[in-house]
Amino acid sequence: MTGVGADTDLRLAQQRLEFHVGNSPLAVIEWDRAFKVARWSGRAEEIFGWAAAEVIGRHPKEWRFVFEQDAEAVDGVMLRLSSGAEQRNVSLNRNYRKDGAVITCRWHNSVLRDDQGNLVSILSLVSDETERVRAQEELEQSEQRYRALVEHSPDAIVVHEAGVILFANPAAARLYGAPAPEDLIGLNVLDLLAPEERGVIAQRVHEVQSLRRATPVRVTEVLRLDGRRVPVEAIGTPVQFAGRQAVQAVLRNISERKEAERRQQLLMQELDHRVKNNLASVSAIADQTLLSTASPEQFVAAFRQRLSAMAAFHEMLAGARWGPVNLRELAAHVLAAHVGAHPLRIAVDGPDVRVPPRVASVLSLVMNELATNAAKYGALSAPSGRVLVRWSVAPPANAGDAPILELCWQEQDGPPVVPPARRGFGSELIEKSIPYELRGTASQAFHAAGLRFETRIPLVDL
Amino acid sequence: MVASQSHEALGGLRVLVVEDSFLAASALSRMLTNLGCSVVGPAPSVSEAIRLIEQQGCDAAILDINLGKETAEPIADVLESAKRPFFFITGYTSSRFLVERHRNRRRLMKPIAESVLRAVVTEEFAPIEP
Repeated sequence: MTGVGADTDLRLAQQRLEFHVGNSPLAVIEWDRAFKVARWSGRAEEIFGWAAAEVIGRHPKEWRFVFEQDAEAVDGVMLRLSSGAEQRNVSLNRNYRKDGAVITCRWHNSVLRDDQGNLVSILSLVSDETERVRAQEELEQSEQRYRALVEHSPDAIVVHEAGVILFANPAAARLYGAPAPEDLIGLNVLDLLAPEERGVIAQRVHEVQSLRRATPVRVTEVLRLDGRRVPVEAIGTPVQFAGRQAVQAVLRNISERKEAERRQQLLMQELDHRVKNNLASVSAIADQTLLSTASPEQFVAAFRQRLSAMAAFHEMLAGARWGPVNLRELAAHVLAAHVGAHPLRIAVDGPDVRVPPRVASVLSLVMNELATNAAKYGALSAPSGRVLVRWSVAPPANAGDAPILELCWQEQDGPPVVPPARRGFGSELIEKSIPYELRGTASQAFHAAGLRFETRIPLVDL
Repeated sequence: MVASQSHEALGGLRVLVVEDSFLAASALSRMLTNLGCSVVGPAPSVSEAIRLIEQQGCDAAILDINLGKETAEPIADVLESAKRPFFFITGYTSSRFLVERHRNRRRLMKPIAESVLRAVVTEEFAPIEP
């Protein structure tokens, strides 16, 4: 009875073993003492492609099974087992599949010896690690890409845990004025922040750190290590760092943008101011012109003429981008209206000099009035008459003061000169606007040979 | 208020004009003269304005806020100490050029219409006694 019972037990045990071997997610391969395949499970067939019949009795070197570059290592593994150096070992190496594809497998090997210590068989339990290895490589590459991105980012990137800095990139070191990114580690971002912002930012840090919510962009001011403030745009997102829950803050330096905004603001205000001043000047010119003209037609003609002198000046100013203006060009522009068909009637002579906008503005109006008067009563009212405009620049009396522009308007060969009985707006402008606005001197002299106007103007940017 | 009435109220009132543009200064002076005021100046700068206040004195003043690179604040300070009524004229919309203590003072925008000037000058310089 015992023999039969023992046979049954054995058979049942074998059946159980067979089942487990076939059912395991691991490939089960048994090698004989000559390292030829003795068993090859169904999973081995799934993983490697060859059916048992194709490989039973063959040595692994007999078919393209081990990846060439790993052959030496695998030889070593097999040798250590067969020599008795190891009873078991684990190896990660690449194998070929039947279809020629290369896969990565983890081989768990163990040996069975008889009582004399002779090798009986070797068991290999094999798992296909290909996907895991690929995922690991992709993760590492992704890490590298992230690291490169962070390293070279022009924006400051700081990873902190409830404010305490764990990591900072080179841009962060530059933003905070630290010699190297490592010098920021351990510091608290809230200390490196404008005091009045700490409350709000602490709240945002809490939201990201504890509630794991990203915060919207905020314009704020950081405090550098040297105490200087820098305006930034900041955003915080939850992130994992070295296994901890942390906050990744990206800070963009917006100093340049703020500066540009400030300049823009100033420009807009300047523009507003200038436009209003211009309108006030036009209004004043209209009033004064009205007083000196007898009819609406005369008014319109005189007013338009003065307005076009202003326009000529503005064209010059715009061309000079609202900076200093070339005097010769200014004179040519303003006087062009008065020479008509005889461009040689007004001669202009002097060095190349650029005058500040304020000086150009006043001079253009003065020259326009001189020309208007010359056309009405002076040298330009007769065909033979000529006007010579000359200037030079003299050094100042005191070193450190501005150089002096000396300009002279000389009329000649015109009708006999008679000093005007009544001084109208034109004369007021000619004689008083330069002393008033430019702290210079100006005078008209009614010589018999022709009117002479002289002025001295310090070339100061007012 | 009828023109002749304001003319009487303002008759001979000596008004200091501080304005750095010659054209605007001339126009403003002329308008004030039309209203019956007598003009002190005009002055284009802080130093010139203060000199006129010291040497000639004035009953009231109209100050352009921006005088080249200066502002009219020092003049405003002097006028306040002397308890003279005054108001500002300006081309800027914001009051950023003025210090706190002058920011609430009346500001007229350039260019100023004669009718507006008449009304403001009467109200500021010769108000009807209650």
